[in-house]
Amino acid sequence: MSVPIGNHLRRLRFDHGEMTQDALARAAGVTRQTVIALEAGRYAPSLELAFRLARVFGKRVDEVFFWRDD
Amino acid sequence: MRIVLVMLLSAAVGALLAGPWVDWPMHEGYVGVLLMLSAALAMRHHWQRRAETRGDEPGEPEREVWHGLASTSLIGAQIATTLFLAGPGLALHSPQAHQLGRTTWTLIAGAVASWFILHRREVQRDERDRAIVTQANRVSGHVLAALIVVLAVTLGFTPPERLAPMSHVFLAHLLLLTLVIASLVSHALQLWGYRRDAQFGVDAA
Repeated sequence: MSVPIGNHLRRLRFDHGEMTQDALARAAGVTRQTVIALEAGRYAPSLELAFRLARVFGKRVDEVFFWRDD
Repeated sequence: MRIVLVMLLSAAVGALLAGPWVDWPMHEGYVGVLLMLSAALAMRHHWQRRAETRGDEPGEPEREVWHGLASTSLIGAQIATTLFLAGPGLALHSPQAHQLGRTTWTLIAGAVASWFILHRREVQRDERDRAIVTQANRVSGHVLAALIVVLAVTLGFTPPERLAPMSHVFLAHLLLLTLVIASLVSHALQLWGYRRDAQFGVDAA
């Protein structure tokens, strides 16, 4: 069961010096399991977490997250 | 499947500890504590290995829920089995009630000790953990309310002559069992929530 909000977290991590899931989790203040769930499209973050994740990569929220069109 | 298996296995141990079917070499409460500590050590080792090899180990909050599910199932089944075997007339100052109290409190001490084995210093809960807990607790709250209503209506409509043999110790433990069942529902739903979220997408971290 995936959520309608997709993201580019995996690609962004690799673009940022192959950042690990653990490093991203620490930077955003969440658990590594949450990063795994986000990348797998199984969890839609709150607006606050979306902003925090975007800030880690120096991007806008809409550059990291997108609405999936079925 | 794994959630049901852990629940059933723990409940079977709890029932065996309470019943007369096994002649334990020491007090059954101590047997339960030893089993809990051994299981906690084994799981800590197992999760450590998963973290090193596959990177898909459960997070700290999920580990606590697994511990809660196993220990609540064990202690709940131990209480339920003792009540079933003793019958509704279980008296406060009887060998069975003393045995029930001693075993239950020993098992609770074992649950606390095994929690310290599984517990790590940095417990981090984030919004996903909180959402999973909230969702599970909402359902378990409804389950608890339904059980209390069923119990209240049943007791209220039972003729006094049929209620008379039920001791207050028996009724008190029946009420406790409603809490145990609601807690089990909450734990199981939380684990189901974690399982739903963590299917794919692990990389070497």
